[in-house]
Amino acid sequence: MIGRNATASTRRIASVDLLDWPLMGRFLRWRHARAALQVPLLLLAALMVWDGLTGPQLAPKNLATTLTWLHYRGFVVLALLAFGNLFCMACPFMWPRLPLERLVRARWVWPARLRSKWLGILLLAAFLFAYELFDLWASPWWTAWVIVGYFAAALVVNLFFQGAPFCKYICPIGQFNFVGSLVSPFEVAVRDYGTCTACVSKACFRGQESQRGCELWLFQEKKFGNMDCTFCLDCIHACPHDNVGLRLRLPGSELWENRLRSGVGRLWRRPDVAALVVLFAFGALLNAFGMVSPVYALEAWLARLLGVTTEWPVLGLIFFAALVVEPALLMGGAGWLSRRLSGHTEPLLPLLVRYAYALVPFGMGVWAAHYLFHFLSGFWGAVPVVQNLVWDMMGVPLLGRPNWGLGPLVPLAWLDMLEVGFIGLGTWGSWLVAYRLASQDAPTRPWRAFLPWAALVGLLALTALWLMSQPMEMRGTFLG
Amino acid sequence: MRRLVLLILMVAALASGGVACRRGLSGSSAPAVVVVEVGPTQGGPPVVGTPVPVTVIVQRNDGSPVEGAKVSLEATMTHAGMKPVFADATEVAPGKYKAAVEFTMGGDWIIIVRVTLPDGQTFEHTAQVRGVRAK
Repeated sequence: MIGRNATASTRRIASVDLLDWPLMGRFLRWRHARAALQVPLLLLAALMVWDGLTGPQLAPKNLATTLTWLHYRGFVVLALLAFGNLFCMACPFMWPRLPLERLVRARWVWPARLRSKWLGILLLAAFLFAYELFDLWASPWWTAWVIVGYFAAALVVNLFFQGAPFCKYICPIGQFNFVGSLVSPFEVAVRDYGTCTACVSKACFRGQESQRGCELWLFQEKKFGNMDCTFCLDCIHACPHDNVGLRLRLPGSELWENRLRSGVGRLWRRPDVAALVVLFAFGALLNAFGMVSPVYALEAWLARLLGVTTEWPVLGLIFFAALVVEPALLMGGAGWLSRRLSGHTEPLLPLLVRYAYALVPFGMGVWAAHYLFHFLSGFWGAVPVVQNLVWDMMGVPLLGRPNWGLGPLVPLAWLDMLEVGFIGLGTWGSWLVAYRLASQDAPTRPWRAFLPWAALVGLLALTALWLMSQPMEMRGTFLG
Repeated sequence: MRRLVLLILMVAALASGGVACRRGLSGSSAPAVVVVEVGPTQGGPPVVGTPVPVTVIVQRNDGSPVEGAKVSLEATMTHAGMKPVFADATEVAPGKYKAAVEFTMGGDWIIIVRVTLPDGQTFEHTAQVRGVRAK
């Protein structure tokens, strides 16, 4: 049931608020809730780095590669689908800053020119590129250094600049999570807007004596949706009226709303955020393409065509085609046709920006299908890795001898159905969002505006299904 | 600020110390020499679903064959989370052990050879199998 409070924020489903739940609510209200999630992850990250740098350099035998590329990514998509931006909430990269803030006070202001998603988009694309080029999935050592580099970058930027610009503008994982959380069922939102109107402290934003306010510059009273929200709980703890909650909503419903969002502006006037969404959706297909047999045939063909023997120019060309040329042609074509069929006279670019948000559910479906495949098929693989690590550290197999045959959490036969299910669900969600947008654009003939976008999403879905049906092939060198 | 720089330097020193002290590397102190041969295969690299013969030759450091060793194989992918394949090798000639491995996925594989010598000593040896072809 859609709640009546729909105009106040995103569409509510009943009035479920996690802060009202007996145990969960108590934990989340606790001032040290975030630290309680961050510290164990920090210790785990330290162990992963140590094992990555000093342990066996075989990816399936090392904690750095196993936990990063199987478990972390699986839990991220599960958390986004079932809850919200849990992994930004529990981000261990942010915790070491707290004791260091006593030594260093953030003095600098993040440059105005960089206050957009463009840098984050570049870094996310670069990360996906490096993942393929350097086979990060196969290297515990490089994986450990990625974690260390992340810590260092987050620490330095957020320590010296006011607010949390690393989270808002730089962090590639954060940008991924922000887009994914647009279809999450929970949102940090105000409970009663009347209370906010009467509030003079605005502590959710400004903070109070012992509690910081929102570092992402999201003012709760004007906040709408999950974009840029790290679920850090600061506003919840800062609010003197206990007026901020973690509220259930219709997943994805913010994608067809153009309301002014505090700290973000209007999504339909944010081509950078739309470009991030396009990268999220098309990058999902590209990342899956990197794991199947046809990619090697394509790379070998391109290498012969270009007369090169190194991977980076070939991979660069594939990335440029998949992340720039393909979206431009497909989305440009769908937009042009949609405008023509519906008789809309709006310029093409704003229309493309608006409909780009319809790709979020599809992108999330593909990421979920891909990551959950690895997560579920290799879930128990962490157990022998930990057993081996303890044996190695202690000299005796305290946790038993490693059983390297452990792996799937569910029968492998289920995984195909699961992948098809997530892709189907994402496709359906994207169609729904595109139809809502078309209904706003052309109220008298929404189908005409909708059909080209439906065809585009359908084509992408068929591509995703084709990719999932291809035999997997994981190679370190494309010419090998 | 100086204290911060000092702290960062200490963390960097600890990290580089970690790099310097590698764990789990046993190759240099292995009590025997192991040679792994994958194949022969028909026309190119191994193909998924087709059993591939794997020959393991175990020799002492003086070149004499090690008879009566227990040799087992684990073939695992370079990507974490893929199901490994196990096989026990049988001795077909003095110091020469054979097994068949059926690769389950295209890509790069690692064969981990676990050897138990007649005197009870155990050690591991790894060999790469690049570019296993999907069907």
